[in-house]
Amino acid sequence: MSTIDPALESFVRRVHAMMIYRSVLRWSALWLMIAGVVVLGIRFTSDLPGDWWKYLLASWALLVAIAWYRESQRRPDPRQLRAAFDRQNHAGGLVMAAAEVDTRSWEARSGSLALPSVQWHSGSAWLGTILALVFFITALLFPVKYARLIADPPLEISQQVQDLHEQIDVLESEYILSPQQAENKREELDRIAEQASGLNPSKTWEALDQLLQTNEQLAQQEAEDALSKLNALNEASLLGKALEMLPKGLENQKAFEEGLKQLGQLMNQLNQDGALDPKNLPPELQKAMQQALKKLGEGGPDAEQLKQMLEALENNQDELLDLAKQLAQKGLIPPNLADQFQLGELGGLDPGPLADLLKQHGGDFQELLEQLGPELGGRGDANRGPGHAPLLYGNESSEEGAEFQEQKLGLSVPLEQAKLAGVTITAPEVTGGEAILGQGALNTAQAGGGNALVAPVLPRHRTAVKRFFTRPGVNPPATPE
Amino acid sequence: MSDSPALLKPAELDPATSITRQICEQMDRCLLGRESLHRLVLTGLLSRGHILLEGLPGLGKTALVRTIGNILQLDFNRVQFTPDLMPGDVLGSHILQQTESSQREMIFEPGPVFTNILLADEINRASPKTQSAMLETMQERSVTLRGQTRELPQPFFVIASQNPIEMEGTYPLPEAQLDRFLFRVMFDAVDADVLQRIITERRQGDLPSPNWQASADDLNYLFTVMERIYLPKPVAGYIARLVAATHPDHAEAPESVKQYVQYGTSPRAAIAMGEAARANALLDGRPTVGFEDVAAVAKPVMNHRLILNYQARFDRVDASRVLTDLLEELDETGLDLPSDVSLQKA
Repeated sequence: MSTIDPALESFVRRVHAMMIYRSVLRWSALWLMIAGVVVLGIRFTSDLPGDWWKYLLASWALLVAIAWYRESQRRPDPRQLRAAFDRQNHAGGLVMAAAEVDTRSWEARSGSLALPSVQWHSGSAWLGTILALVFFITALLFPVKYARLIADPPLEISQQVQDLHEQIDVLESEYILSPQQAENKREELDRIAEQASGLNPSKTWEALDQLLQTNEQLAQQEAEDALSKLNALNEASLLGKALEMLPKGLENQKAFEEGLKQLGQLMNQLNQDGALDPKNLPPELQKAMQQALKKLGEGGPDAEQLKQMLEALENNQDELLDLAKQLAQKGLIPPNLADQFQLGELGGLDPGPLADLLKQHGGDFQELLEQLGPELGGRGDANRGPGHAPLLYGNESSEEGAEFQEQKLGLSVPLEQAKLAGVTITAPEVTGGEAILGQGALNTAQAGGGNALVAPVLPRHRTAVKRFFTRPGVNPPATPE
Repeated sequence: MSDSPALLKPAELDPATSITRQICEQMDRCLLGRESLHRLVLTGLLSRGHILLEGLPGLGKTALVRTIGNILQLDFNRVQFTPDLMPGDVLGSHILQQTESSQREMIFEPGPVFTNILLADEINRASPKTQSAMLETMQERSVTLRGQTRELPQPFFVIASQNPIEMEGTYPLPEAQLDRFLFRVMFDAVDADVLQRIITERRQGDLPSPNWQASADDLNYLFTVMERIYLPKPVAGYIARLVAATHPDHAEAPESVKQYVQYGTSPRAAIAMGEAARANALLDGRPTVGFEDVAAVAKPVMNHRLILNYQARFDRVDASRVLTDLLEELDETGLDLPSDVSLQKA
C-alpha cells in the first residue's frame, strides 16, 4: 500500500463532508423558511402543539439524512480527487502515478503530503440561513394577535348583539315569537356576531339591520294590535264605569235596568264590530267578557258582575300597557306609537260626564249615543282608519223663505263665435234676452227655457247628492236631468 | 500494478537531471538573460522536436543555436533562406562527376540539412517549393532524392527563425509546415540590466566557450530516460481535453475559443504536448508528469497550431490570449465541484 493512500482517503472524506455540510446548510435555509411559514400558518389558525420542537428536529434530521444520501450518490470520482490531491500538493504527478505504478521509492523523497483544505465560500449560504432563522424565530415569537387584528380587524357589535338578544327575549316573553322562532333568531344573531369582520362591515351591519327590522315589524304589528285592543277595552270600560256610576244618580231601578240593557246592546254592537273580538283579548278577559255578554244577552249583568268585568278590563289594560312599555323600552316600536298608548289610557276620558249625560237623558241611551257618537267613535285616529263615527244628520237649516236672486245670464256661445259689440270700461249692459237669443244658437228655442250648460255631478259626489235629495221627510226638489 | 511499466528509480533519474542542469547552466552562462528560453529550447530538443523561433533580428537566435550545438557537441549548419533558395540548396543535389576510371556518374552532394542541428534562418523568406522540401526532413528525418532515401544524422533538429515584422517578400509557412514544429518560441527583448551585462561582458559579441560539454552518451542517456518518464492517465486525459477544447464546437471549449478559433489543434499537438511535458518533468527531476508540466509547455506547443478566425484579427486577439483563457478555465482534474467550492493548499 502506498503511503499516499491514507492522506488521500482523508482528503476524500473531507471533500465528502464539506459537500454534505454545504447541502445541509443550503437546505436548512429553505427548510427554515418553510418551517417558518408552516409555524405562522398554524399560529394564525390555531395553536402550536406542545411538542412542536420534536417535529422540527425530526424533519431536520430527515433533511440531514437526505443530504448525506444525495451527496454520497454524487461523490466525485476518486481518480479525479486523487488528481486534485496531486495538484494541490504540487506532487508533479506522483500521487496520480501511485494509482498505476509503484512509487514508493519516490514517496520518501517527496516527504509528507499535506491535506488540502476544502473551502466553501459559504457567505451567501450563511446569510440566507441566518435570514431564514430570523424569519423562523420571528414566526415563533410574532404576536399573532396583532397580526390577526391587521389581517381580520374585529367589528365591535357586542352592544348591538346584546340589544337584539334582549329584544328577542322580550318578543319571546310576550308571545310574539314562539320559542322555536326565538331560538332560530338567536342562532342567526350568534352566527352574524361570529362572522363579523372589520374588512367587510357593511355585510354585518346589513344583517343586523335586517334582524332589527324584522323584530321591529313584528313588534310594531303586535303593538298596533294591542293598541286596537286597548281602545276597545277603553270603550267598554268607559261605558261600564259610567253605568256603574249611573244607579246612584237615577231615581228608579227601571232606569238602571234600561241602562244595563242599553249597555248590553252597546257591548253586542261593539262585539259585532269586532272591537270585543275574543281573539283580540287576553284569556282572562275573554272569559269575563263571555260571561258578561251571556248575562247581557239574558237581560244584563248585575252590579257584582259588572264590577268583576270592569276589574278584568282594567287588568288587561294594564297588561297591554305593560307590553307597550316593554316594546318601547327596547326600541321595538316608534315613539309616536308608544305615545298613542299613553293617550289610550282610560284617564283620558272621565266616565262622570257620561253618567251625568245618561242621568239627564233619563236612560234614553239612543239619544245619548247620538250625542256621544262622535266622542266614542271619534277616538280613533289616523292609525285606526276612518273610524266608526256614524254619519248623522240633524238640525238642518230650513229652506223656508229662502229666495234665490234671479239673473239672466249672458250668452253661452263659444268665444270664437262671439261677435264683438264694443269695448266698454264698465260692466256690460244687459240687454233683452230675445234680441240676443235671436242671434245665438238657440235661435228657435223658447226664451228662458233653460241653460245649455249643465254642471256635471262627479262620480264621487253622486252618493252624497243622492242622499241629500232622499232625506226622509223632505220633499226633494226637482233633480236636474 | 505489476503489469505496469516500472517507474524510474531516483538513482536512474538523478544522473539525467544532473546532465540537464549542467546543460542549462552552460547555456545560461553563454547567453545572458534567457533562462526560461533555454529551458524551453532544451525541452524541445529532449522531445526531439523542431523549434520555430520568432523574434526580431539581433536578439541572439543564431547564437542560441550555435551555443546548443557547442554544448551538446552536435554538428550545426545554418542556412539563410531567401526567395531564390532552391530545395537542392538545402537537401543536396546530384552532380555529374568524372571518376578516377574516367567514367561519369551522378554523385550526391549532401546539402546543409545533413547535420544534427539545422538553423533555418528566416525560413518564411523561402519559396513554398523550398519550404515543402523541409517537410520530409522534419517529419521523417530523411531525404529522398532520385528515388533514394537517405537518413539524416541522429539526432536531427530544425531550429527555424522568422521575422514577425518585415513580411514583404515572405511566404507564410503553411499549416502543415507549422504543425511539424514542436514549439514556436517568442524571442522577446532582454531587460536593461541584461543588456548592461552583455555590453560589459560580450565585447564584439563574442560568445564564451562552454566549460562543459555533454557527450553523445549523455545525450543518448537523456533520450533513454525521457522514454521512461511516466505520464499518468489523468494527465494524459487533461492533455486530451485541452487539445479537444481548442475546437470551437467542443463542449468544454471556453468562450474565447468559440469566438476566435476557426480550427483547433491536431492530434499531433497532443502527442507533442505529452512529449514536451515529459521533458519538462525530466528537467525538474521528476519521474512523473504533472499538470504543471503540461501548463508549462501548452502555450509553445499550441500557439502556432491554433488557426484563428477573422474576428480575432478584428479584435486583435492572438493565440496566446486564447490559450491563456483555455488554461484558466479548463480544470485539470475534471473534478466537478460546485463553483463556490474550491481546494486550497494546506
